[in-house]
Amino acid sequence: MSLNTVSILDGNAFVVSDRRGDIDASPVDAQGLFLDDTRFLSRWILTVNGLRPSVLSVDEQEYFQVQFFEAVTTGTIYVDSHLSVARKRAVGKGFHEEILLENHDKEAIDLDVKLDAGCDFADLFEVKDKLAKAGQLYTKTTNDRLTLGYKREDFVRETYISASQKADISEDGLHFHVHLPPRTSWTVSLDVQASARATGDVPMRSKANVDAWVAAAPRLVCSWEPLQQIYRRSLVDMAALRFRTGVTAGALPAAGLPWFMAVFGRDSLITSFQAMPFAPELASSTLRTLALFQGRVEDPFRDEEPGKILHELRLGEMTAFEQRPQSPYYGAADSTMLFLIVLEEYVRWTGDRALAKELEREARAAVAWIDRYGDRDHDGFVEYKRGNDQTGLDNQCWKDSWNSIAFADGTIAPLPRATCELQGYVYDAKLRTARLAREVWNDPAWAKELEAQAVELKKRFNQEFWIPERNFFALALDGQKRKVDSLTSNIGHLLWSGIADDDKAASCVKHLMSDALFSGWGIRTMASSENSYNPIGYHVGTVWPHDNSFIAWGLRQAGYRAEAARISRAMLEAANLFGGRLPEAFGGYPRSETHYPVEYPTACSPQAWATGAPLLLIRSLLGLESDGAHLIVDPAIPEPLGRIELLDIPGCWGRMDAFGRARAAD
Amino acid sequence: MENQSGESLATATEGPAEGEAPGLAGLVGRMRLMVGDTALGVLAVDNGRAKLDPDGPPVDVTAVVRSRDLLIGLLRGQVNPVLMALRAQGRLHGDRELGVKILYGLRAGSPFAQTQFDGKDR
Repeated sequence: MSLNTVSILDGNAFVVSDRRGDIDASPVDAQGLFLDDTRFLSRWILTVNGLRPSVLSVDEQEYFQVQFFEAVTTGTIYVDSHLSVARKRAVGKGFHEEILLENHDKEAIDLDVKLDAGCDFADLFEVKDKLAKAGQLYTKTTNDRLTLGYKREDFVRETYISASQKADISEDGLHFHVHLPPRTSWTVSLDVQASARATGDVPMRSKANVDAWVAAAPRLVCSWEPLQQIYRRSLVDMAALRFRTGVTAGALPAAGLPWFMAVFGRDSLITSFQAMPFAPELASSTLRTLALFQGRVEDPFRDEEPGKILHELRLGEMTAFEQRPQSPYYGAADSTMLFLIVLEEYVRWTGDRALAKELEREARAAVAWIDRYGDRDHDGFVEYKRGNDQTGLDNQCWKDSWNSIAFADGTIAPLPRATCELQGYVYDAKLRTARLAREVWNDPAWAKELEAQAVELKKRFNQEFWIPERNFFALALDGQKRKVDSLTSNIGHLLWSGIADDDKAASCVKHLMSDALFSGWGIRTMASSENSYNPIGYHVGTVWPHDNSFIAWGLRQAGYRAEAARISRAMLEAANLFGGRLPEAFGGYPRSETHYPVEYPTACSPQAWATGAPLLLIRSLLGLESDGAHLIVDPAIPEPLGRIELLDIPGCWGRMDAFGRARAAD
Repeated sequence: MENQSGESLATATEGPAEGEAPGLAGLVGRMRLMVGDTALGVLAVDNGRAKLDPDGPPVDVTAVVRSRDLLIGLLRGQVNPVLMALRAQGRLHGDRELGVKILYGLRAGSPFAQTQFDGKDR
């Protein structure tokens, strides 16, 4: 997000304005009121006697509420600062705004207060890609309401604007004539309401709701003060990103502001995993929702296949008219495995076997998808190639930008692509599903079969992905089964899944901690030694906090305590320098060259799995694990993080505390 | 021209009004079928089987859609429920989670895929 914009959000409703509070959308400035992937207001400009007030300060009180303090400071009628303006705005199903004008002068004044309003009803994809509209815009006015509308066949969206004070309402907006005696003030409340939502989402906005959410999470006490702030920021941002579909109970994390306030399979699952020791209910809602939309048929336009877990669900016009496939779109090769992984993690952490029983069919369908559709050519590895050549995703792994899967010389790998972390996820998913089959579904024969498949996969993976001359695993096998030989962060995910043989894992750890991959702030997505490396390339050199949180977690699980601690510390120090909120990604420049991590220009913030990264890092530092009955604590905390206490950790044990402090060995 | 008949779908069929629906395995419930204000029967789901009833005991969820043809498309598993909702062509009341499960489940194989409704082929 631009530093010159202010955003407030609630679920998938959000308002992006300039620092005055005005909305003036343009091709280069994606401002507006957005809801259900549609812009419901693109113009909202306050003038007082034809002047736009100057901003004095912006008070971002809560994630859903902001206050702008301004003054009318120029012109020939008024002396500087005799007229102040305060605009208080809260987002919900639209937004509510209170405008307060205060006359600080000894003289009375007459004011023309005007709010210009307009809307282009752009689909979020149209905003992003600057596309033209296909339907008709219209406006309607009555004595007390302005309606801005858009119609394309049976797709109708409307915005209703009304005020608490009498106004002249025209197609362009609202006009108030105000007489202000000396030392008096005038207030108007404005309601901007978006028309009924397709999903029936329930806004969750309230300070009490946020406070309750934070209070329900474990309490953190630590000697390194910034961690307290980072932790609270993560919890509050996670609260902001909660999203209700209106179909399933509970809330799941949306992916990120501004472009990804929607259900995403991969993002919601990864975030749910990160938040497991803190808010396991997110996993439950995520699993239920994704199960509901699990693929049923073969549909190349949506890349849908039976058993596949969705990638993205959108609610805008282009989706409604099938100009885009997100209804839902299934172009993710990893979300199905992640679904199984999170299901087992959730059950082991919470003891909620009922959910595993409820989702047994979906889990079996997911495993069937891996074997039948995920492994497209039946070579034993999962690979991807889109069915939708027009608007589908080329890369269906988490590094989904076009140039992320490249050879060391920079050549883009031909499709289909079998990236290494996908194989790790399959391995992990099958072992975890085997555990559920044995312990919950009473199917030991299937458990044995899954375990045997996992063992075979591990054996073949270590043979066929290993690059002996470079001593790390290939990023992928390409369409011709060649090893894509770039050194990337993907190898870190192999530690998390456990698919790497011990000796090969050790070699990968050396690479991960080398100067080529570890910038000092975190592990880069691609090593600086590779030809495609670009420190501000989206997936070819930037540092992604969520990636690092899983690498740190994998290092802990593989026994590399000091390395995990080093990455955790670096990432938390970066978070501190970002004001407690890690962005989606930041520059891969070496720490030796920058005192601050370099911002990535279009990073989402807050973004769900970046918000979840500090949570998984804390889990990693304390070595928190569940054996299905007890909380296991095995801290590995570096100086200067000192002492960390996490109190009232929820799980199948009820609530438990964990303590850890730095030791010389760590 | 869309058929706007108010005749129950259960009685307007030639061919099966019940049968196996693999995508409905594990689901039990009843969905009232309506076009606007007109009730056109109940879809009774019982663990992998689906049956069209003229009416009967209380329902768990009600599907209200714009047209009879759209309703028939849903029963045949030919309509994407998400698109239907986005274009305001239909909505669910009551247990919406069950409703979505049923409508999605029918897409995986509907016993009504070959059923003639109102004397018309699919």
